[in-house]
Amino acid sequence: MASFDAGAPAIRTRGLQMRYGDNHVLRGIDLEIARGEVLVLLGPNGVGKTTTVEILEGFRAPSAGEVEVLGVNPATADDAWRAQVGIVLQSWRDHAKWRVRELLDYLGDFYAPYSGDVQRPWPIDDLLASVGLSDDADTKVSELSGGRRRRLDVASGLIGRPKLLFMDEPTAGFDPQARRDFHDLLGSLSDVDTTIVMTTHDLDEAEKVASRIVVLADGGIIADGSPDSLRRLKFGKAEVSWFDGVRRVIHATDDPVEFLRGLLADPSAHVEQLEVRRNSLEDVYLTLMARSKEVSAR
Amino acid sequence: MTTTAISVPRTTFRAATRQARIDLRTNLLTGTGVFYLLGPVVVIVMMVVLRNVSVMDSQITLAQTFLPGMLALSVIAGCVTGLASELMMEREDGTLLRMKAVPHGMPGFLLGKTLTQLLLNLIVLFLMLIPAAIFFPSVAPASFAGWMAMTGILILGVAAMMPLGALMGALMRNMMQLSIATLGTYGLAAISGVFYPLAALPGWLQVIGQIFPMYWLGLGFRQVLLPAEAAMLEIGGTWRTVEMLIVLGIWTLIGLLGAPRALRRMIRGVSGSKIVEARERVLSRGY
Repeated sequence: MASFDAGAPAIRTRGLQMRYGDNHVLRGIDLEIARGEVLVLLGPNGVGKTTTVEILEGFRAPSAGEVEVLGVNPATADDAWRAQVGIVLQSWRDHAKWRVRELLDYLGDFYAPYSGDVQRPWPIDDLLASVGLSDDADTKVSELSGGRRRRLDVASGLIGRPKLLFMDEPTAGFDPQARRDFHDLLGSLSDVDTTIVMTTHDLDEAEKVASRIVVLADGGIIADGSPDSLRRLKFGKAEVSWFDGVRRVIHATDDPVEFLRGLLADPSAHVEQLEVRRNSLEDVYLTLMARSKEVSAR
Repeated sequence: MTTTAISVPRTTFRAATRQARIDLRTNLLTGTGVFYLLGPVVVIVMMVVLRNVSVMDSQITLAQTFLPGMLALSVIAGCVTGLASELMMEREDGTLLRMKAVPHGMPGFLLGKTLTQLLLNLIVLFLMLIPAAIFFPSVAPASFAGWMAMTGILILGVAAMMPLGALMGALMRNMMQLSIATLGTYGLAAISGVFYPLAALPGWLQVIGQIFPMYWLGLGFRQVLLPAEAAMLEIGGTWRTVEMLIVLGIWTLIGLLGAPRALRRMIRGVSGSKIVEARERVLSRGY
């Protein structure tokens, strides 16, 4: 087993750069991801999310900079390291003629030598139930619908019970119920200390599952924090609204707590159906993107 | 829960045999299985047609030389061009990337591929040989030793040709190159004694034919299947067993020296973004 200090961060990069010819995709990424974090990478297409993840997965060597994933350089990591990392990619069309259970059994074989603290591979029936594929165990992979195929991809990323899980757009094509189930599954994984790094285009999803969000633009990190702290970025005010008996009143404020304290303490105020709507993540994200465009246009 | 871990070689082998079992099933027991049955049918029909056509005024008929030639062709079509096209597809559909993401996935995958090719070729060999033996007893191996020799030469042939197929699959960039290589393989069959003895062809074609392994593999099969006097029809009038082993050995060496390096380069090159590109190409162009 790769030696890995339990207190060390799961991922650490310093000055990570990637260029293809004159095109600087990444201009120096410094990132530290603690164990158990669920980190969501956001950013427009072509901004280097996939490149970053591929470097962390050990599938691509950076042009410059240092990378440590679970304590080792992924580009030269061994199979014991591989056994602790799960990967869910976007466009798998492989093993189309196999059945679902066959593929998972097969992939599971490779993790059997790495049983230790937990049983590896994840018992197939439990795993199928976790991703909601129990009814499709004997279905041919090519006959799965897009969303179900995606669940299989997620299951194949989880089969080795990874300490670190990378997922590229895992919920593309999921129906709302499947998405909800998947979020619950993510919650239960981070409970057992699995570190998760995922990309998504769905900001609601990012808000729901992430313990931390990193926004990439122009080859660098332009925002980094919990969904809460990002929403509180000072691009906008929170909206407090209530029904005062006659009409709906809307008040914008930087500090809704202070405002509410005053409002509720006022005996003359009639307050019904109170709502506080804070800056949504979408508002923040779109503002960030607009700003980064202005900066790069200059 | 704590469990005892099983050793890597054991689980790699288990995964490889599982892969071979599933791939054989999906190959043989589904729609594509028809193609494997077509081969023997073609062989029998051709042998009936050619049963009275003698080769270069000898006692040997074309039916007799056709069978070993077809066996050589099928080994090369399966292990070289067939394997190459499989690898190309698996590079693009994400199979290779998936195996790269799994501990010891690549060795397990390649071992599984080797087992599949070996078993598939053995099955094809017997699918062709057994009906031939029933309808044309004079063409089949005369003894148990003969059957063993056929099996032995087939295994040698598969072992020699698979690295070449892997090398080709790793070097090919697109379907066009693959189509040319496939056409070339069938063209090669024409000058490799599959349809007519090489000795009857002009000298320069004989030279080209003898460079490639198909002729030598066919020669090995003919040595076992045909009566001793059929050697007269070969170049030099003998079976040239030593030369056969040397030429097949050289091709094995080329494959073994080139394939691992080419495969490693190809495997290093596969990434998620390449798979996305391939999928988008397939969606827009259909191949």
